[in-house]
Amino acid sequence: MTRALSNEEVRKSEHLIASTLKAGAYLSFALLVIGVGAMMTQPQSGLGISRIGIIALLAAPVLRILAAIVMYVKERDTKMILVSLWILAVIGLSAFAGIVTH
Amino acid sequence: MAATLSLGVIILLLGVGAGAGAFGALAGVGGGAIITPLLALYFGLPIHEAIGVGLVAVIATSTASSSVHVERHIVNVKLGMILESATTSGAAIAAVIAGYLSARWLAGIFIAFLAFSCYNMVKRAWGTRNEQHQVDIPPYTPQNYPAGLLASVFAGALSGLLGVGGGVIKVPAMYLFMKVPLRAATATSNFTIGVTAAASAYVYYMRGDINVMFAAPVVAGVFAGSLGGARIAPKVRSTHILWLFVFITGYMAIQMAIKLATGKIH
Repeated sequence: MTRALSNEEVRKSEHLIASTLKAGAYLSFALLVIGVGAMMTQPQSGLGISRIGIIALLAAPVLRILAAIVMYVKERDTKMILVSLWILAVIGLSAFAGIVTH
Repeated sequence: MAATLSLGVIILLLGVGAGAGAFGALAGVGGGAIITPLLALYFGLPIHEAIGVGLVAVIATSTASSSVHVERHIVNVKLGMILESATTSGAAIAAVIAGYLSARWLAGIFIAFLAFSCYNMVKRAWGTRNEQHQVDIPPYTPQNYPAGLLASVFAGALSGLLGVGGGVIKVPAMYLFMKVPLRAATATSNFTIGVTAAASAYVYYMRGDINVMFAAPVVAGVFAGSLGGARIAPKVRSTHILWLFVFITGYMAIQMAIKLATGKIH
């Protein structure tokens, strides 16, 4: 069951999602800029920092889904919570499939 | 493969990323469709690794641009996530299958995809030559979920196979089948391609197909290009960007076909 949300509440909820995306983007961007800069003088360190930047970027979509789940819990939207969990399950399975087919 | 990249190559990769990021911000497409073939054709990257970089670039484009669009409330988050349940399924399966497909097969599928994107963009560019800017999004209710979901599985599969975003399928599916206004469809598509690409990217990463040495400068470029592109967007006529995309994808389709025919794809 979904209870009716005021426009203000919808706006606040989506703000969490937007903030999560921005944080992920800025963090990854910063790490990659540092990493690429380092690659030019100290390749090993640069590659290491860059790898962390890529991992941060890969994590961002999952963090966004978690932020969305927070939003749906507030809205008591069971259907969308299940949809979100399904997406996480597919992503988890795909990572597992990647390991297995290495 | 060399242990490190030369400064010149790093700068080139930054440039490729910036160009793709700017394109993504201005035209709503670009990302992997430009990066993957460029890396495979001109940087000597094996096609599976080129796809890996494309996927990471798509996540970057999606994360950066949709953070702004969600803030502006033009993304239909619910619709996007419902469609993501389908795109991620298609993407994950396709990403696993791509591991078993030869580079030649993937190149062939990519050529078809580039030709299709190019053709669609010709129609879109022609249609916008006199266009006025859409300002507000009218109230709407998405229709025809079955068609949208089916198209989404296919879009996800394309993403997993080719390292693209899948927007070339998603935007028309939402706009034409589901009756979503174009601006909302584009923003929602941008929102969903990140999660879709992630579903594939995790497979590629675990399989060792994400070459960080190449991905890092490209993605750094994409972030910078997206920011710059978003900033200059009001000053650029969309029809010029779209025709440029037509030229680039058409040119790369031909280049890839030539390399495939002369046995140079590996």
